[in-house]
Amino acid sequence: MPDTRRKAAVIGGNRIPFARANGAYARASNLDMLTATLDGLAARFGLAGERLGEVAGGAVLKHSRDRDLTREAVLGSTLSPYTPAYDVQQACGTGLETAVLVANKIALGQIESGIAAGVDTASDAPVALNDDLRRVLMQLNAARTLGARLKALSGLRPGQIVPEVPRNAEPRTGLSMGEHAAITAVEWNVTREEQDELAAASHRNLAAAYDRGFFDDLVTPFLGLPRDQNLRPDTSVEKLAKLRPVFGRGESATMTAGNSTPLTDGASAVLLGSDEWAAERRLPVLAHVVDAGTAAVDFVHGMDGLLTAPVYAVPRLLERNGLTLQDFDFYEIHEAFASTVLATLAMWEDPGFAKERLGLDAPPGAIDRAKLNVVGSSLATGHPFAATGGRIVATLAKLLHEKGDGRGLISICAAGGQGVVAILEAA
Amino acid sequence: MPSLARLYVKAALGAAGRRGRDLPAVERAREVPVDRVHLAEYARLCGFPVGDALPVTYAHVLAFPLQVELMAGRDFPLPLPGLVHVRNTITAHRPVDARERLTVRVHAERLAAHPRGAQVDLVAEVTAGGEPVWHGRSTYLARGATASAAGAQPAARAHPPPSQGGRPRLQPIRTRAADRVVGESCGQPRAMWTTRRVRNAEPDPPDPPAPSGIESGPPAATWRVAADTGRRYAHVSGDVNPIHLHPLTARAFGFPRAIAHGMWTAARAVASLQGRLPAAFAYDVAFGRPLLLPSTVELRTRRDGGGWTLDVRSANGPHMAAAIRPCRIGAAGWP
Repeated sequence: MPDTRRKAAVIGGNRIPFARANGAYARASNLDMLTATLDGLAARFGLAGERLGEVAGGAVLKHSRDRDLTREAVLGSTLSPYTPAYDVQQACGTGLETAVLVANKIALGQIESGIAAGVDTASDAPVALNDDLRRVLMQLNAARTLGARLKALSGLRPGQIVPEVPRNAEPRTGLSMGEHAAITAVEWNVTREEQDELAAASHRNLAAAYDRGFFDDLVTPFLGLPRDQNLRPDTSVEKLAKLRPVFGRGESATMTAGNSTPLTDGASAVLLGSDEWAAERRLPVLAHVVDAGTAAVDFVHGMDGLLTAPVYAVPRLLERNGLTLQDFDFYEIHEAFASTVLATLAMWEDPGFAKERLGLDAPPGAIDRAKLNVVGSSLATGHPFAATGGRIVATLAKLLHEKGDGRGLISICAAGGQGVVAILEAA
Repeated sequence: MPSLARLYVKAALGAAGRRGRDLPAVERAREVPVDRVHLAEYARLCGFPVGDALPVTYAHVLAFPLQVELMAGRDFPLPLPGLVHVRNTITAHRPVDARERLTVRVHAERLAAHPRGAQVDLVAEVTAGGEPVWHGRSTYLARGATASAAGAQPAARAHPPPSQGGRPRLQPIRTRAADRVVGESCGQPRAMWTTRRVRNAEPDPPDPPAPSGIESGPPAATWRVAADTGRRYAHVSGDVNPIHLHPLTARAFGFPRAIAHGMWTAARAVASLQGRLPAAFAYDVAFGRPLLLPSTVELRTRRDGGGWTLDVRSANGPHMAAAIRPCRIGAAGWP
């Protein structure tokens, strides 16, 4: 094994347009979408029949049959069946975490190439048996005598026909992600106007990027959908201002369907490799993965907001790399909710928070907002949980490649009080 | 597809009546839009991914309603109910996207005597904007074709001796087509035909030998084929032939239980090669013993040059043997 660490190259990406739940992909499964996305990536970079180092992928909402979803997708794809694969699950951080894992193995010389992928569907989400019914069936299955079987069956109740539907709620708090975010929004005085402005900018930027062909080599149409279904190029702050708040209560309720991400279906994949591997195949290197980190917060019994872990992860990453928050040309901060992005920025600017919570003498400070999510983010594209990381890595790598130099910061918040962040630099 | 069910009933009621002796010299053509919901149902049932590319066997179900219209006509010489699919050859000249506007043309040809009755080919040609993209030839056997025509034979006679009387006088393979061309780079696919009617056509060439199966070795997959497979495929394909629907209706045609549609088996087998198929290829399937439902069957696959050999069998014997041969994209050897 080589004893020098090297930086993994981001060679390119592919995703399918993201569809609104129960929209264009209502009948597609995670496996269908992930396989189509891998095939699209393979077609784009001539990988048919290639044995890659690995494919790391995952989904947040998974059927029990999708135990080894990513491996199944590889087996159904045009990639060589000799390509190993594994699943990762870290809520909305899944997609970026897969990229970090693949990049780390490349950096260590364990593999020369790999694909990081993620997929999610809210349309084909798993609906499980009612838990009481499931217990009865398990007992029935374990029963060895007629008496034991009858006893197990006596546990059947009419109400057990109601299935368990997955909810977008934290198991320990019972609050939905939006309700958690609403608490943070109030705490940091994030206004309705700022949120609507951020949402409008996301749609405007994404539409402009599509119009200039930015996504031509990043997105492959799927099931007749050419662009992200959630994109509203003609939306405006005025239109968004008319929407009724859906999270929070009373006067302080500012979060609407317009400045929150909708439930979405989609998949993304990123091709990573060593510089040598890319050169051998005459493939471009768009960017290098410099470093990455994760953090977690105590949102249950502590003082932290559910989606605030990146606020901690980024300063640690900066310190390790001798950088300041202002040393970036692009900031890709995942727009789970407009208020999440704005609260994150507010926390980084707050001296008291820096001192008491981040343990820093000075706050990381403000960023140049003109460098934030310049080609749109999740408010416009939609957010199929595990697919968002791959979308952002490929997007940022291409932005850096277009610019020719500089570096970019990725920040993704996740359920469970976690966050994944990374730094890319132009190749 | 209630209209198809109605055609079946009509055909069943008329099965004992008079019918034509020659194949109807008509071609049916229709522009067939791809319904993505239907496509997804088909894909799920047969094991294909839900996506934009049409599964190679999908055009068969697009063409099938037209074929039934043809076969249910009073002038069609064989009784539709009880027809058994014995061989099927598909040539996919290139991948087809669900967005494309497809035109399907079907006609019947090569009505011929068969040791166990009579057989006929239903040919479907699919074009996209005038470009030939897909060609299918389905050979159906009317076991003891005589039975229904004369109204004298019990329909349940499964294997009437070939010499049995009462069947319509069969031409020794009628020729109605010419200009046959063989797909150049596909080895020797079964002859493809124009639909033009040409007088004094040459006699038909014999079929190339049927693909041979894989008799032993570890299976690539074991399928537990559910009892309702025939009903579910009937719903999606419109092929409501009673031999697939229920043990009782199947028994009326001499089968001990309902049998799976050959094209379901063929679809499920080729679906197992997802990601491993050439862009253009011929898929030649010979059906063997009926796949009784429910069943546990084994799929065997073997790479053969650029193509594949496939085999589906169970304890009851071979159900299907097939060959996949790659073609040059767009190498349609057919005008």
